[in-house]
Amino acid sequence: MANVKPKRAVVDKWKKKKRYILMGPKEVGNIELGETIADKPETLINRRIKVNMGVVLNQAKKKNVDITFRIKDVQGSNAVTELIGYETKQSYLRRLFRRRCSKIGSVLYLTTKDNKKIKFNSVVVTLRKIEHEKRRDIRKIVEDFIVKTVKANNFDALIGTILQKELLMDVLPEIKKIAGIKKTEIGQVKQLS
Amino acid sequence: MANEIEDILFVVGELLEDPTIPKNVKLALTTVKQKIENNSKDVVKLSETIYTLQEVSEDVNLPLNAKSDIWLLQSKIEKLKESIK
Repeated sequence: MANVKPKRAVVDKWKKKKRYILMGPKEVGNIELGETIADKPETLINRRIKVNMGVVLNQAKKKNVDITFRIKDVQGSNAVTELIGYETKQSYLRRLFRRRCSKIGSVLYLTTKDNKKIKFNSVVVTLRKIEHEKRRDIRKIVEDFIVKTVKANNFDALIGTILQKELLMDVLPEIKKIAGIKKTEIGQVKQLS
Repeated sequence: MANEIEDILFVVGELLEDPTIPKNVKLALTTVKQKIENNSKDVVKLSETIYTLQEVSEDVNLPLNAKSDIWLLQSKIEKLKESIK
């Protein structure tokens, strides 16, 4: 006779799991970002979520912006998140750069007021192709402005201001004197571990 | 409601500025823009714009990013229509 193995009790792991509501930080207005599933609340901590702001805020103007959150705390059935990154979609940025225009990009590694190391990626697109000297001048003005702003703000406040208004609009009148500007964008603001 | 109309017009404006979008699609989008600007409370006109966008979204020459934007427009206009009803 063949050996009959004793039957194992099958446990459905999914039945043990609970749903947790993801709550955004106050910079995005404490809105509900979605739901996530976990069996223990401890497993939720440090989980990362990437959300499109156009969908969450229901604003078409922000459809090209993705924000990354990290779960820092669990309160009951709510998972409280914090901001860790801001990103403009690459597909949108790629569409900005056309023939006969200059792209002035800059990548900076900076430290915020609350001692968080960040990577700040910005882009300026001009109306016409411009000379190297002009590009250098524009880059210098933009980088000085970014360094000044980052040093004066906490990371959360920085992302908050970027979400509320276009940060580089403040520097626009100054760089417009050098060359015609088509667009200024913040490519990425990322918290480095 | 004003916000919704503003949102719709913003997306249409962005699509009209995009140089990768074909002329026939841009023509359809300008009519959509005019109809929304002038008759945003007319359900029939809003339905007309939805049908125009449906036709346009099936265009083979339309880039993928524009296609998703047109679907977004359709859903926004649909919402606007439902709120008026």
